[in-house]
Amino acid sequence: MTDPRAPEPDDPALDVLAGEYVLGTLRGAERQAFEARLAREPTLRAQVRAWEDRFAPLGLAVAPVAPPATLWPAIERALAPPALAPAPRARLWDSVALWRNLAFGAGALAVLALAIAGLLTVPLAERGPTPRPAVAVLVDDARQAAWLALANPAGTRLELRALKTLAPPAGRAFELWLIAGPGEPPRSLGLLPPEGRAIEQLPVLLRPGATLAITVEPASGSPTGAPTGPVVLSGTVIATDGPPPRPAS
Amino acid sequence: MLTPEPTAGLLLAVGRGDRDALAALYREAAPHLFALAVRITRQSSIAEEVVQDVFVAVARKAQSYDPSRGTAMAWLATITRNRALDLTARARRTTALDDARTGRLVDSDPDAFERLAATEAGRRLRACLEALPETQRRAIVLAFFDGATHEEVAARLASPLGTVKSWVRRALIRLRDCLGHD
Repeated sequence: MTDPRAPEPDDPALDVLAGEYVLGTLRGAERQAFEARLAREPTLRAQVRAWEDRFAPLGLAVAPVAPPATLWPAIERALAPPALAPAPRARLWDSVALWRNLAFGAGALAVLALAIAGLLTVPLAERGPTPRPAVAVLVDDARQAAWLALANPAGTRLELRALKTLAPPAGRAFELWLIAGPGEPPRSLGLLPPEGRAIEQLPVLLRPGATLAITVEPASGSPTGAPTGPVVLSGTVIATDGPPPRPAS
Repeated sequence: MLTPEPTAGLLLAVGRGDRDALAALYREAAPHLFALAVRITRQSSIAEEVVQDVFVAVARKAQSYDPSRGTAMAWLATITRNRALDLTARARRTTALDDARTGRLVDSDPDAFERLAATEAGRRLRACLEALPETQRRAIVLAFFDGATHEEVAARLASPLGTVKSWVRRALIRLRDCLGHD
């Protein structure tokens, strides 16, 4: 096949690097640095593509292994909510295992959030078809729901309602954080008293796919402006726009 | 051996939002992709996460599959490998390469070689791999097929790390020259 974006043959070192990337021997920081370049350099993408094509038959020569029966239901759950952005992964706070759990359970949580929003008959509708109000259920490590976060349709206001009473350790406080999207830094939304609170003006618009998290901080809040304590609760913000859209056919 | 045509058809249907097609695609492709992911991640739980991520991504972006590029299975295998390598980089690998499973390398597994011979592209790749010096070929196969790092290849082949790195580079250049630039 002829590819108009075929790599320039005059950069052999880069082409070998692309080969190593596809081969899988480029790991860790080297791999991430290469992927960052890949995003910017079409020539490099073409080189990677050529290597992927060269090695493709080997990738297909693996003897099949049946995945566990639980995997397909998990995929269906993950796909259940509409327009749910991919949950943030380790890139945000690498050390916190909670993020991985969050990614696994995002689908089920979305369903739960919709159900809770419906049960509470929250006066969310401030009219206007779009944008829609968003909700998030904040769960603990054991995936128990503890807080419900409700946003107005404009995504400027957020209300936190306690679903069960949780108190921070003595002398400490809960602090609420908003991660607006993948790769975004956590922004403090202030301390969170056990009875809940409303935040009238969010520093950034709350969009579906954003993450809310609660950490344990000193009584006066994080001294650094970034989370310093463990994440005890977190949840992904989802849109409350009813059942998933029917597939177009 | 999976025939590419039905997979591509399923993928196109998935791109139109057909969830039944996604289920069918899963039945056809998941055992294959899971096997790939297990080989690279060496942990079933991470391999499951890989396959889940791949199918969720495919359900949302099946349109990005370009049939002119190659078979649908090859495309799925590529994104599976990439995801497996990404997640493996973040998770600490606890399983050593030198376990019993890695006895089944492509160069010692006649079934795998048979599967490689099932397509024209596979036969070309096999011929080019066979033309490599033994050590270079084993380094490539260990890296690609078993997800081995440079360090793991060096341990496996009882050779210095620098030597292995240069085998890999030379093998890549030979393979490219053998297979062509397109």
